[in-house]
Amino acid sequence: MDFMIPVTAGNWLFAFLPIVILLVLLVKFRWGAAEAGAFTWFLVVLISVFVYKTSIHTLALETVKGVWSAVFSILVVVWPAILIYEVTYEAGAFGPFRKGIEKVTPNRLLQVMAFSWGFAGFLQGVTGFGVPVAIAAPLLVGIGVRPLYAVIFALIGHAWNNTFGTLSVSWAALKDVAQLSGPEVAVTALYAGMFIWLFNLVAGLTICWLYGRGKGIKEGLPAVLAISIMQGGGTLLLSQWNDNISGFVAGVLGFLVVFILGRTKWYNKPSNITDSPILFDSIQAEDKTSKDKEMGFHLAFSPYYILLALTLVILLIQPIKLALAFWQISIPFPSTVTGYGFANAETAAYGAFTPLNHGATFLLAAALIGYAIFKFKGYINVGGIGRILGRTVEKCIPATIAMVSLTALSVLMRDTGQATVLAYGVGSATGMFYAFMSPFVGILGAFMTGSNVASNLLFGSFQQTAAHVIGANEAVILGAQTAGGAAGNVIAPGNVLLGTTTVGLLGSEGEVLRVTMVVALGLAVVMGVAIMLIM
Amino acid sequence: MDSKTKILTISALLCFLATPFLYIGGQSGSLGNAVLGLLIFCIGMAIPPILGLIKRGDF
Repeated sequence: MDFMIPVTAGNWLFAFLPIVILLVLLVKFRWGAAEAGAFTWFLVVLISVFVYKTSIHTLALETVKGVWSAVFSILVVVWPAILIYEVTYEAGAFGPFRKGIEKVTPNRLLQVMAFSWGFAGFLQGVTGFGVPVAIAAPLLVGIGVRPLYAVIFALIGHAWNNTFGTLSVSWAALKDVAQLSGPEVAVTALYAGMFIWLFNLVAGLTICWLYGRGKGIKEGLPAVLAISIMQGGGTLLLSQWNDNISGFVAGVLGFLVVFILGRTKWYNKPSNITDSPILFDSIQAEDKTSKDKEMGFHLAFSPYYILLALTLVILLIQPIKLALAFWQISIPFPSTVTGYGFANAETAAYGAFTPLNHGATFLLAAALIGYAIFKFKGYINVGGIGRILGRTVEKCIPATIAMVSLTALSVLMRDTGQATVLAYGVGSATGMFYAFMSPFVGILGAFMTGSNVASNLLFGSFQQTAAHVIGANEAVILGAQTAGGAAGNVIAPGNVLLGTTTVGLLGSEGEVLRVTMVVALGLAVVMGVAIMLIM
Repeated sequence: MDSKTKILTISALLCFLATPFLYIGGQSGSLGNAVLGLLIFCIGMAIPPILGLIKRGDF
């Protein structure tokens, strides 16, 4: 242990208190993320200073780190994601878009699965950084899904691909901190792949359940099995072959199989479920975006084609990706240390942001080119740019303050040792039972940081040590860590906020969490039981 | 832009405005800058919950 904070019940409870308060404010009292996040930030500051012995200088630097991370990790995605949505909305492209999807399959349940699970999972395979949620949630609204469920589905449907998606950046982080090599990599990837497949299956079944309860499961089961075999099974198998692109390939296979399913006897006709609570009135959905002159599907989808083309060309062709990485924006920080000796090393390039090969830039470029196409084709009327920018700013401002507060508080908790005390407390209190708790630690890391990568960096080494101490299989525990980190993305306030902002549901984060928390924690319980059985 | 968004814009701007003071204060060990930055940041952070309480009639 490289710090001297006593892991006492008091210190543990003080570290846990802000998480409880944040969740209570969001879920019980239904505060918006901006209000709850800001309030909880004050609490974290007080606990950091008076319990975790943090000096004013450290507090100042950690606050800047939080703001920097909020801007260059999340807000750079939020702003252009909202812009691309508003451009598409202003052009009236969602109506024709939905009609085009209906030609692939008239079955609404498969349409919902296609976007929330197939497409979002595919996007996570290449982009990450919250882009799948920011793109899939508004598209789901466009095909008639209620905004609240659109956010829930996008969160649940994309998160399985967090570990091996984005060209396996989270997996690489875990390998790095745990110093895995050779056979250890393959065995850990095997367990991680198994847990991720389980998560993937739960995601598909949850979408079906929310769509039509038992009838939804019955109707959706063939599609769930087919998509899950491609996505989860594909990830598991491919991780043994090439762990760098397994998430991407599995995401592509999972999306493509939807088009085949649309031609089968199960899904080439409308759904038998006619009263799904997740859909709003179809006429209302169409009126929202209708125009006198209706465009074709491919034109309606053109901003997203551009996004896909930019993403695939730049991120998958390594020489281009590396060439564009030359421009990097970062900030240096000196080392910080608390009164307990919890130290954060000096960093020369904190939160490095590479604008030219970042998903945020692709989103911005796609929005601008999409606007130019729609304008040229006559689908955006005079004054359209003003309306687009006005609505974008109105949505972005509350999201900005919410993200700044949430990121600032999570960075402060991380860098003053509170997150570590939480994890060590769980480890020391549970003993042999720790194996069951290991996915919860992964979830905690992602909840606090909004990232599978950060969760693995924060707790990967700790989980490995804990496994060693209790004599558990390290590969199983590390697999649970990263799968838990992926699952934690469905409850990470930043991701939830990304979804609510892009569908115009800001302030309803608690409503989303009520559902996604059950999914994440339920999954962790199932994973925990599976781990205990494996041991 | 409605009045709530305008106030939240000020809140966000205050938080961003505070960061140079916080950074210089933390980097150079200047207590004055750090305290000034924290004060500005705290004002920015206090606005959303206060707005929320006023909206709910609790304040």
